[in-house]
Amino acid sequence: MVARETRAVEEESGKRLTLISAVIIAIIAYLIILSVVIVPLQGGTISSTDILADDLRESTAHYATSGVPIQSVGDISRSAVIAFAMLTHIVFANLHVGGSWVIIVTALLYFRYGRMRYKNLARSLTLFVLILFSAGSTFAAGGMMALIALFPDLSMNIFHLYWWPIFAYFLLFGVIITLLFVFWFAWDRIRPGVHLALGFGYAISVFVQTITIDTLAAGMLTPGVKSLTFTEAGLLPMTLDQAMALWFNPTLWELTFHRIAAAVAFFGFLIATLASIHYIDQKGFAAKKQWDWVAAYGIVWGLVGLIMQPILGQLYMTAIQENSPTAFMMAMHGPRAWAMLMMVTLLSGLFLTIGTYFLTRRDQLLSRPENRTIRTIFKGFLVMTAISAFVLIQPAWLGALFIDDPGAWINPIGGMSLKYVALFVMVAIGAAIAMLAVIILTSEEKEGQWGYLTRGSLLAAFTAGVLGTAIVNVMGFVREAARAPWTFYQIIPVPGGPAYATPLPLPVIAGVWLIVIVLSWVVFWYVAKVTAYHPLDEESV
Amino acid sequence: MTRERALTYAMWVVIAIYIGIAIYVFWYFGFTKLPSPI
Amino acid sequence: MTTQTGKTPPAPGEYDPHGDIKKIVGILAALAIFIIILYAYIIPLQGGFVSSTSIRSEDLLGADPRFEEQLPIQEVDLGASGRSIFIAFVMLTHILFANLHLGGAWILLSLIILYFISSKERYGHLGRSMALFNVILFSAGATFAAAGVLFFISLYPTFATQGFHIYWWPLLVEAILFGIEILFVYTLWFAWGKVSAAWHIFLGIGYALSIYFQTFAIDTFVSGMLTPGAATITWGEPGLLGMPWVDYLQWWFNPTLWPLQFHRVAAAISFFGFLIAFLAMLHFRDRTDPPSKKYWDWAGSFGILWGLAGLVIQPLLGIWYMYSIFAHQNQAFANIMTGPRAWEMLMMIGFLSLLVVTASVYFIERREHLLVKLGRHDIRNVFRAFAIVAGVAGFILVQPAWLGGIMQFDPGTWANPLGLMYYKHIAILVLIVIGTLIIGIDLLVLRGRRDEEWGNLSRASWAAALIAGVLGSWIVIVMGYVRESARSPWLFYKIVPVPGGQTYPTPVPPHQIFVVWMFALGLAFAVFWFTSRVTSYHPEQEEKV
Repeated sequence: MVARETRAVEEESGKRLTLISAVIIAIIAYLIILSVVIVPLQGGTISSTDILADDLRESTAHYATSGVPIQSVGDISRSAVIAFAMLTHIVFANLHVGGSWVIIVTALLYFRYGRMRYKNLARSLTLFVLILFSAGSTFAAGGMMALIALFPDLSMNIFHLYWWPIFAYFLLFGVIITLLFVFWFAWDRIRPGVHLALGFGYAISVFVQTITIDTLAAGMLTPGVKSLTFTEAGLLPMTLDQAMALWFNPTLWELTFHRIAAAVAFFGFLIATLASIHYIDQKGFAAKKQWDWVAAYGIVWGLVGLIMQPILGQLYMTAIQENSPTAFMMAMHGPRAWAMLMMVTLLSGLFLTIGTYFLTRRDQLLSRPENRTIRTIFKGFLVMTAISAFVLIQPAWLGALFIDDPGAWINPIGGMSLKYVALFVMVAIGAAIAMLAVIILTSEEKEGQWGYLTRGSLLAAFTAGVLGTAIVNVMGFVREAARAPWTFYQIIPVPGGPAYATPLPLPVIAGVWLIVIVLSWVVFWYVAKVTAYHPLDEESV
Repeated sequence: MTRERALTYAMWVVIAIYIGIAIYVFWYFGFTKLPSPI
Repeated sequence: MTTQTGKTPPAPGEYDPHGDIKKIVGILAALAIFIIILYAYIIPLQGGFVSSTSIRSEDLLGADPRFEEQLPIQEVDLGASGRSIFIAFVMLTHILFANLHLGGAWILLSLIILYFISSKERYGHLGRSMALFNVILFSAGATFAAAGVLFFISLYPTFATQGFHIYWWPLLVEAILFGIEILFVYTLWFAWGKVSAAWHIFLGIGYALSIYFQTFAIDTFVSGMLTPGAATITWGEPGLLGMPWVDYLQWWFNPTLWPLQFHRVAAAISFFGFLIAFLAMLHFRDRTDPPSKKYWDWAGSFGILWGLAGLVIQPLLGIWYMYSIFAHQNQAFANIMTGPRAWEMLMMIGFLSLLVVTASVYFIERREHLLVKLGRHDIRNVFRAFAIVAGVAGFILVQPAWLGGIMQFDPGTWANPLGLMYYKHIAILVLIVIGTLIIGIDLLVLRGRRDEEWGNLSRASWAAALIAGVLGSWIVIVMGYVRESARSPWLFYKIVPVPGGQTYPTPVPPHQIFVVWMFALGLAFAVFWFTSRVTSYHPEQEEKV
């Protein structure tokens, strides 16, 4: 009976697939144009190893060497192995970097407001990330192993220099496992205060752990020192102030906060996608109500993370510009800029998808005649987002390697000033939608309206998760591409010269992205099947 | 002979064979291959 | 007829809730006295406190200088053996977790098969709990493994860069199998009861085989450290293979690969069996309702049988391994059998003997009531004879072969007339026979009758099972130390030394390794206990996860 009612409602309002289909087609179309037209026209097919060959040759920076020959991995190249291991690892690690905050806040909301749906969601999410902990650490261990075997000189140096932060990282592994597992297993068996403390402990431990590993991750791009000389033996391989400069390098905090916001957004959109899948899977109306609400909840979190990103990203980019200007030049004004264009396509795509999600929801807030104003505002939001997106995806130049090469055609609407405006507009709209969404989520009148998602909204929610994962993967590549052809900027090169050119060419990294996204989503879907809480029909959400 | 009894006999045979193998292995490695004391 | 404590036997239907605690006290006293004598007397008199670095200093001078560290050595603030202690702690703890899968997968498979053959619920319940236990603890094991990798590259960079290069392809295989075995064990857990018998068995076999091969892959590296495939490391050109294919095969499929592999699998099975017994005993104490007590009593017995089964196979595999070391790395053999590390083998064999004694005591106690009821005094006496004979065999086995010198054949050493290897071979055989016969008697003679007695677990048998659990785990981490000691002061034998020369002596000295053992056992058991509290099936209420 309920299913019939839902179907009737759907038929009345139409499936509303047009808008989201248009957004998805636009994203795909532009990605194709980017890959086929823009990338070659910005020198994107030429390796950084080639372009910066002079820098490589002239470098006199000292670092220790191992003397073992380069281990190749067939035609695929060593970088692809690392890319695969690390990008997959990040997808799973982000479940904790971002998910820990979403989970603990959701649990907090439960204890504060007493609504069962917060508890059920928090529980499902906790079990989800707990199960996937092994998956994440497997890729971390595998990545480390590959790093040592394929880049021995780099490994020798960095694991020595970053020994204490990485040692802390591993100790925190144990702390995190303990807190997370106890958080799950002691649910309902301990006082709420203690439970929340465990949860916050978990989130904070992950935060600190992210800082420790980011000393290395950020340091590879902005080392903070000019060369790696091991002047001391003992507890520290260099003087304390040098160690501090190395670990607390110029982009440590920028990268860390940028990643956390990204992870929160990623996790929010992940929830939305999984919820949309459950919505389709489950037949009972009570389940559909719940998953509708969960998807909306996830999207709010995604938005919250997303609107912080451009600001944090700019701070990061500025720090890179000041400390590794060549890297900045390659990534923004040179042959790696296409990766930033790709990122910004996905970002715009996400904002558009979210706008579409809200617009195509078949609910009374947006479709009753007296609410036409709100509906018009939302439409206006979408149009402005689309225009901003159009500005953001403009390549700043074409026809040369660098923007200030002679012979480069400068795109009149591709300048950064316009893009700053576009970004601001998008963020502002995103913030507005987020606030509206929160109101919708918490208003009591809304309660009767969960469960009526149109196909269009479902597809939008689903797309959000995939885009969120893709953007994380692309950003990982952006940092590597900015850093190429160095593994440790202007100190340790990628060994092997032109025979092992970096960064990975687009077809290869695109293949890696595809594998990573498919693999991780198969795992997510599979695990979600067993961790999700599904209410029975009689239960209220 | 029921199946259970047959199974029981079979397992005792297996145990006997294993003990035989153990003796052989120890004799082979311990007494002939590895150095004798003094 | 009186019970072993001299009191009148309980009436039929009753049982003696205490049993003969004196036997347990005896076992614990023997353990304590043995360790004290070892540390106070035997170790000092066999040069056990002298490092291999100093004993083999001449060999070390001949080491290829390109394998010395170029980077300054990273200290960890734990003294001269600090780095080794870091590795020891993380690797020994890792093994305790890894063995849950290496051994547990086979026991889990047996439970699945037994369940589908017999349709007895308890096999299914125990299997399901075990699957969840392993699923949860997978992360813990992986964390220690990854930490170990970090410690290797940070504390021993030259060794790590060379070693990871030689073993890149096996390590890649190992990493891939990591993913595959997660898939198998997680699927097995989540599909439990929801798929057909054939699927359960397929997943169970997949799980066991993937971890078997993963261990095999990492064992190429581990065994190669002791018996490297070449006299030195010679690199060729960059490419898919850093050296000729044939050379790689020598390194990977080196002379102690197979013995180590099988030795480890049997050890893991034994370890896991005794661990089940240990945890079952704790649950037995926890739960007060009769159905639970029956279940945990049975589970303990099930565990002890598996523990014993793995244990009786071990000496054969061990002597095979030892012979391989004798033949291919004779100096290492001398280190651990006729030299200053022999005390570790004494410790191991002492624990092994004590395990057989403890298992005998367990069965004496556990089956007492049933045997009296059945009138099988012959078996009662046989069990008692086993315990005594095992004790005598153990006494022979712990005899140091010499005292008063670093190597057995140094001038001036006193040769212990009771310490001949001939006697020890016979004594080990005796232990094997005893262990095998106990299994045979319990499984075959008493089958079908044991069910009547579940729940009537005396304190003594309860304690015996607990002791077996601890000893079964401790012996594993003693053996890990033995391999390291055999190899000291090398990382790759006679190729890559432990860097830093006399400033960083190896192996970890006896007192320090004892502390490491205590930490590793304490940590692992705390985690095991805590996890089993939530994974166990208890008859009176289903645990929902």
